[in-house]
Formats: sequence, structure tokens, C-alpha cells
Amino acid sequence: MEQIRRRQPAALSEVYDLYSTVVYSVALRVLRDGAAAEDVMQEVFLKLWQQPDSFADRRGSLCGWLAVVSRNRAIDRIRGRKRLENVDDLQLSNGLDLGTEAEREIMLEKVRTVMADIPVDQRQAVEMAFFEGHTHTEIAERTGQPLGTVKTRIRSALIAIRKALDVQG
Amino acid sequence: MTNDQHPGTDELIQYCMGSPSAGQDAAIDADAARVREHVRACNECRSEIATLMGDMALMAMTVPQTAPPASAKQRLFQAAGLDLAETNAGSRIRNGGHGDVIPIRRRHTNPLVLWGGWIVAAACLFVAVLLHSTDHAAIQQLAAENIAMMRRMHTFAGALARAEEAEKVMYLLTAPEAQHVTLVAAHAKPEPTGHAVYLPSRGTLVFTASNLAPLPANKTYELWVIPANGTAPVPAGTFQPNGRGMASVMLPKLPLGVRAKAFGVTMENAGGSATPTMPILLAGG
Repeated sequence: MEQIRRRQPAALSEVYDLYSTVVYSVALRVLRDGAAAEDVMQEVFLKLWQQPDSFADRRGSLCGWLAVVSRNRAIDRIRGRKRLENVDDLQLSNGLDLGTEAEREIMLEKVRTVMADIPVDQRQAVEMAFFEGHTHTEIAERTGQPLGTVKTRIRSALIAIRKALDVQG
Repeated sequence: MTNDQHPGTDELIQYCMGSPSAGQDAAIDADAARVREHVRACNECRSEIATLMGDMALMAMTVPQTAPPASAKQRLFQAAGLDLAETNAGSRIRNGGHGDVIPIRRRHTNPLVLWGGWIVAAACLFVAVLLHSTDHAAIQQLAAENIAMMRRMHTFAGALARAEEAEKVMYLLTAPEAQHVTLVAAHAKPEPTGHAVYLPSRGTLVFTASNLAPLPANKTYELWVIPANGTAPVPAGTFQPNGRGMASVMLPKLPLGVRAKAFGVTMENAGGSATPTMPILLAGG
């Protein structure tokens, strides 16, 4: 990141090579449109290049931060709304240590396993919230479930992911 | 909620996922504003938010990995007012014209720690050979697991930084820019392959695969343990190949003591299935 702050194009090239697949894949998951996902990916990397201080090292893993920003920009598009204010500036847990590609893959494999193992209704609720940008209330209306049930399902899914991390650590 | 009261976890989750209104619903925006104002002054809630954001980042990164179009990088550099060709050439010149070279820094290192790192790395490679594996995914996974273990040991010993040599090996094995080549018979197309290591008494299994075909949307690969006693196949984890067709399943939840007659891989709907759907795409036993 220091090299990007110093305006070294090679640093942008390296960061792109490392994380473009993650950024693109997240946008593609939300938008289900390759061209739109590429636009979002470009927006995310341009933001990093033009405003490198938007990512502060204290915000945790660069990969994780880029994934979240990609999700946020993609959600902005599908909901046709203004930007998710402030959310990009939130800090990520320092426990998200994803140093190498292999370490990242191992950790993500555990999370994928958790996501596959959690009850379908929990997964559906958290995916509707995270990848489709629905509010808890909207999910309750769409699924016909009580609002409290929806909140519990989303919270439970996130707790399950955290437990996978605890095992990893 | 007043500004003195901590928002509930559900409110923080909603806040982390972003105000869904952003100007379209006054009530929702007011709730978000209250949470934002509270969080600004509350270390406890900021800490909880950091954890939630970490969880969400992981969830985001678990989506099936798809490489962007090759032209996208050129487009990005153009938009940034940069010359990609010049950047690539400059990178090669700085590295003596031999591509990306990792500088080796020499410094005094505790020999035990140094050799410990090499022993771990050598063990990784040895195990990979035992797996009859020529794919780098297996080597990466095993090496990473061992290095991660070594890191933890060194953290306890206060000597984390001394694992430098082993880290260099790890870097080579895991660097995205490193060339990965699987050698097969001349003119043969690389076939999908999988390697499973299974210990029934402990219910532990490690599976790696390479050259897997990309999955259609909303599909996943699923690994199965076929019990020797003729009972129903046991699901052993779902997985998605990365952009290079590689995938792994590490230590899925399995019952203890199930002796395996064979292993199989099928394609299932996203989320996996309780019973395998034919055809079996990979099989061995």
C-alpha cells in the first residue's frame, strides 16, 4: 500500500493481479452481469489508486476491504441508490489475517464449508441481506417469516462464520 | 434507542451492511444516523463492528471465483491515466530483465529455527509426493497449514520473524505470479484429478483437486465418502474450483470410524445435497 501511496503504477499492477478475481467475483455474485461487474471492479481499483488513504492499514486485510467495497458498490447499483455512506470507512477485524493466497484459501474453505452446512433458511436470509442488499424488514416480507426470525437467522449465520475463524485461529 | 444505549447486534449488522435507504426512507435513515452517531463515540461498538465487518468480508470472499476479462486490466490502467505496457516493462527492468525476483536478505538467524522452517517445508513437499500429487494446490495447502502451525509456535516463542527462510519457500509456492505447470503425456489434455487422504479413526480428511471444469451458476462440487459397509454415501464437503481449476476440502465434519470403500465427487445444487446426484464425476478407491 505504501507503494500505491507513492504513486507507483507497478504497485497498482501487483494489487490488481492479487485481488482482481476476488473483487470481480464479488461484484459478479451481486450483479450477475459481467460487464457491470467489470465496471464495479474498475471503480474499486480506481478508488484505491486515486484515494489510497481511503484504505487505512488499521482497517485490516486489504483483500477483505476490497471485497466489502466491491459488494457495497455493486449493491448501490442494483438498488439504484446513493452510496452506502460511511460503510467503506469501517474497520475490519484484525483477526482477518489473510497473508498468502494459500492461507486465504484454507480459511475461505472453512467458511465455505460452514456456509454449506448452515440451515438453508439461515443461508438464504444472510445472502438476501448481504448479496442482494435487502433490509431485515424486506426479507421478512419476501419470505413471509417474522422479523425477529429473520434477524436471528442472519445473526446465527454470521456467528457460524466467526466460529469457523475461531477454529482456524 | 438513545445515543447512550448500545445498539443491538442486529442493528449493528444492518448498519454494517449499509443503510438500505440512503435518502429514500426517512425512518430507516434516522435509525442509521442514530447508530452512526453512537458508534462514533463508542469503542465497544466499533470493536463489535470490526468483527462483523471481518465476518462479512469472509462471506464476500467465499463466492465462486471468476477471473475478470483479460482486457480489464488495460482498461483500468487507461482510466487511471497509466500505461500498462510501460509499467510491465519497468517492472522487468527493475528486476534485471528476469521477471519478478524475490530479493534474498541475509541476516543472522537462530539455526534451529531456520532448520525448523526448512524441515517443515521439506515435509510439505514430501507429503505432496506421497500424495502422488503434481498439482501445486496440494503443496500450497499442506505447506500453508504447516507454516501457519509454525507461525503459532513461533509466536509463543517470540520468534515469529525468524521463520523467514520458510516464508520464502512459501512465497514461491503460493505467489500468484509463479508459473504453475502440470506435465502430462505429450498431446494429452490435463484431466480433472483429485487426491484424498483419509483417516477413519479420527474422521479426518484432506482432499485436493486440479483441472476441474468451471461450474454452472448455482452449482457446486461435492465430495462423498462411500462406506465399506454398504451404507449410504457420506457427504464430505462442497467446494468450488478457483480460476485455475484447483480446489480443496480441508477437514470436513465426518463421523468417526467409517471405513471407506471409495470416494467420489458429484455436481450438486448450491449448498450441497444429502445424497449424491449422478453422474459421479471423479471416483477412486
